[in-house]
Amino acid sequence: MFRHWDSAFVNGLDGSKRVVVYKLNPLADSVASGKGRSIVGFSVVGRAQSLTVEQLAVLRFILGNEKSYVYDAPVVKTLFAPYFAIEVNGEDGDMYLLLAFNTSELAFAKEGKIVKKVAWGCKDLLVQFGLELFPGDEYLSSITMY
Amino acid sequence: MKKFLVCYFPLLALCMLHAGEAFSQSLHAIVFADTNDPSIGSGDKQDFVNMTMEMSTIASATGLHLEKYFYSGSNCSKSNLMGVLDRLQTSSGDVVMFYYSGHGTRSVQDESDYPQMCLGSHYDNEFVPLEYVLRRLEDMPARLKIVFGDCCNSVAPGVTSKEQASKGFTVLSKSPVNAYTNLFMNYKGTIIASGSQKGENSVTLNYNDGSPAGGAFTIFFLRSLQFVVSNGMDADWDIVLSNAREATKNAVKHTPVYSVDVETTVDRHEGHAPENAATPDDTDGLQAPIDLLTAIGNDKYDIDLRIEVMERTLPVVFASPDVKVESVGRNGTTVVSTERAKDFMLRLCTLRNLVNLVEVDFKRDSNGKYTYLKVHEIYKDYE
Repeated sequence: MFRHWDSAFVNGLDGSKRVVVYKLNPLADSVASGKGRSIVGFSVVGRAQSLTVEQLAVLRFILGNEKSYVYDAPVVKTLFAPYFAIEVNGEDGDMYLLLAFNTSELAFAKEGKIVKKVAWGCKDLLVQFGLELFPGDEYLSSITMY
Repeated sequence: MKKFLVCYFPLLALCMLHAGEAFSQSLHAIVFADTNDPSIGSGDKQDFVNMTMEMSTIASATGLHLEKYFYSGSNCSKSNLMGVLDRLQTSSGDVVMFYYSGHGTRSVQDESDYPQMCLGSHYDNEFVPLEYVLRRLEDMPARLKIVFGDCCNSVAPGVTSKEQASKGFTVLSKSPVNAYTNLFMNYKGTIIASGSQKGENSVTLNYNDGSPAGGAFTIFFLRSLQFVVSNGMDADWDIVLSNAREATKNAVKHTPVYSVDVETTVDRHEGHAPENAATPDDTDGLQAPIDLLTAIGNDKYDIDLRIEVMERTLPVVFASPDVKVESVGRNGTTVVSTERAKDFMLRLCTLRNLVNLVEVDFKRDSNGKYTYLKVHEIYKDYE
């Protein structure tokens, strides 16, 4: 039941010594076997400032709200390409929340692998959240065009 | 009876001629399906079955000879697609039908209405624009060309536009111009870099299909630079080189070293629209042939003048009007068009927004005239 993971992550948000938001380049190729710095296999290309208390509250609200999730979303014919990874250090170790805007999905990851992926229905909220973290971001700004 | 026979044989001959025409024409059925994907593979497999069946039915119904190019599972790949397009031989009466089922995406910078096909890969450099397939087919002598893609068309981060490569051009728009200007016009000082540190070897790398990609450090440096440039980022030399170093170190285990000793200039340069600076005046005979060709492509000059220069220059620059000229993409190897010298120069006369012609490779005769030329075209799209 995925609702375990969102609670675990929210608990992690509350108890974490550090919450870091990374920007990813999820489709970066590799010419040889190595991929550079990565989170769950997705290349890291940037990092936001630490989340403010208000931003943490917004994230907690989004994740804790059942209406944020879509239970019967169809399978889409595009790659899961997360743009952000939010890292929390909880009691059980590091956890990541990966946000993909092209598939409207988020994924929870732990110990180097994705443990649950789920569709979300709060695109505008999450795009706005992303633009607060990375103002003027070209990719996020482009999403609102479609 | 005799009358019947007189009427019958011409009719029979006509039917046989028509049947012969159909059998001399082919349906080139090209199907790529990503049937291995864990989320959509089973659906793609059904698409593969349905479409290959349909194409066989079409051939049976029309009498077209069926040429099959069916690729699924791990065979659904960019290298196989390129191989098919390179080897495809069509006649003027043929039909070509291309179908793809799999993941798709697009870049923020893409202008095409159509997506890029992921072709079973998760890496941006393996994606191929659907419209690229159409462009390749348009160059072939077939009567009807159909291109279908059943895939997503959503914007994903980190997807680069392949439209430059598909058109064979580099297009300098505002963002890259500003980024290049910032890095190369707004700094002074010294930079030194090497692919490995003391005691280490540097390696060269190949692409997945075995073709050479180049030196590892060069590859990652250019990627770091072009990432900054294509995204119009306000990055400095430390960022470019540290990213290149980290990428190289993680990929091939030798560590580049560099020293950046620069400072920003007092006067800041702003990017401005690139210009074609070549002139068609070669009265002193000292202009390099490639610069003369670039000048013919310079739309600052009247087209009549460009044609006049073209006619005068063709026998001077090329050994014959039939010399082969290839235009290649940014990687220096993907051939986008092959023309005779005469046709190439005629095209130059009508070009707009050409900034530069890069002489990538050539052969010359004892008189210094080209017997073969490979070029890369750089255009501006500066708003």
